[in-house]
Amino acid sequence: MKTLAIETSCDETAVAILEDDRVLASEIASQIDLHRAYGGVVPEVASRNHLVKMRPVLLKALAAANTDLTEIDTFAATAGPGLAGALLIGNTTAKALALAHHKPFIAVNHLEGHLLSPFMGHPDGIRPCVALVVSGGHTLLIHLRAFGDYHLCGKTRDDAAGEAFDKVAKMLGLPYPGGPEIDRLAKEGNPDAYDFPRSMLKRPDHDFSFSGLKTAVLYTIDGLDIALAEARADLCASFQEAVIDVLTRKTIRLAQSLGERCLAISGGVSCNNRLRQAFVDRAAAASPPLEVLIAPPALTTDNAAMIAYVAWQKAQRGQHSPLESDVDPNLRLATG
Amino acid sequence: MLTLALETSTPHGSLSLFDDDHFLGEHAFEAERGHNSKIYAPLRTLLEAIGDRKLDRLVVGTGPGSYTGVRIAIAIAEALALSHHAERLGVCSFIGAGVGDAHSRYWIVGDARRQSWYRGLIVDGRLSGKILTEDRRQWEAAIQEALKSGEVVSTFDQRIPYPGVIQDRPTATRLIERTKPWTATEGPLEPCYLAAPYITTPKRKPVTL
Repeated sequence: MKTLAIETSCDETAVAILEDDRVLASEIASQIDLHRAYGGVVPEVASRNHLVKMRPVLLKALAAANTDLTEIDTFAATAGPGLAGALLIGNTTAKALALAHHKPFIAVNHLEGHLLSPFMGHPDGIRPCVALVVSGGHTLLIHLRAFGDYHLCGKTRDDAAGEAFDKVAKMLGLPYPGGPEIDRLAKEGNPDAYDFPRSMLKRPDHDFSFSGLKTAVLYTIDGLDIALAEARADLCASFQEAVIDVLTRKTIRLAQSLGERCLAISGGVSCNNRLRQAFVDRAAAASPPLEVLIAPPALTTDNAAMIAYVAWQKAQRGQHSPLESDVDPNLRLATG
Repeated sequence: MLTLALETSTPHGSLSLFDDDHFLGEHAFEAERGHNSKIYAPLRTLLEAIGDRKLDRLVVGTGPGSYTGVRIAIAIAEALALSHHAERLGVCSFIGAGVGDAHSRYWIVGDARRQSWYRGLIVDGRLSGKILTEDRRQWEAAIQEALKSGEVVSTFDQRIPYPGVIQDRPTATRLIERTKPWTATEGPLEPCYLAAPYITTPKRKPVTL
């Protein structure tokens, strides 16, 4: 079964084609360079560029998969959450393709794409676990009981972890997006140089908060008695370690309390090298040891392969969407 | 030649289908913001009417008007063009006005948002020069001048009850009828943008907590 999916929820125009759960093509046109000047994504700029990029990215994906539209069995697109104007471009395109080829359309929740991305191509498929979706827009702890059965156990009460990375990077004079810059600089720094707070770690619930950590970084920068350039690597390493400490400990603690033996980590922040290593190390040291599934780096940032994977799962269950369905910028994923 | 046109630059959306000069049908729908959910039922009906035949040409009214509406029409036209190996033509929605025909001269005026107003002149069925955007005083003076000269002035914007200005709306059928000899668009189809993206910048310190 061939699935073609389109993802345009934010600033990446992405098209992927899967044969069952095998990726035949995954093309992405990133707009990061256009938005960098503004320090973040400008919705109107994103919408304009999705429209221009849609056709060439679609053609590139078809060529890379060595297939054509008549061979596609299911067309899918992200329906939310995301930027309304951006979502519309991919969603409308996929629906029109489905109509033209008399094939089903499937609307996919962007977060479900991230959530299930660690299972793509995995021989055991989707199985119960505690999942952490950590990106620029979300920090969610979910008890994944089965496909489509997701219980939200914890979320951030203020900034998403990735948002904190971007804002701290801005404080440190680093370019947008800040996550990869902090990851790179942190390798040269000492994670114990500054004692930043591990917010909400002592609380019994599973929520997160990163605004206090941001403030602590800001006050530390204000009080530096050396040049910022000299302290930058240590600040990056110390900030990053504080975020990772909270994410890893709370995720492992939830798995232990639920008796789950598997962790699934996804979202843009899971591309962070130190985060990936910390999860592997700490899960192995947990009692009992936990298995960690982390989405491959290419699937951590926004992409259409993860959307196609969810669509393939839905297609097998006959979960098609009407063409009259609309996008929802605030689409929710889990109950709880 | 099977031609399908989409006109969604106003809340009064329409789709139209022609086989050469033979009119096969038009479907209209109302959608202030929901073009994405309301356009498919009429589109499905028109595509079912042609059975296994392929579209040869897609015509899209590119505005100016609702960015969302126009983008939806363009996305659909691009997808159908790829699927049917059809050519695409993006045209200013003014061409589809009810006040004129392929040989007449008329103005279309409207609100361009953010304290700006637009006017564009159609001559012999084509947009003459660029669509002008100006402040309200200049715009009103230009409309007065045009009306005094006996010119036809029309608007697609119901919020402009200006004396002498004719309330109008573009239709997909008129877009097809008036663009038959036009050559297809080569590059990407884009809405008729009257201004650069509106971007707000931080007013005070660069970092906000």
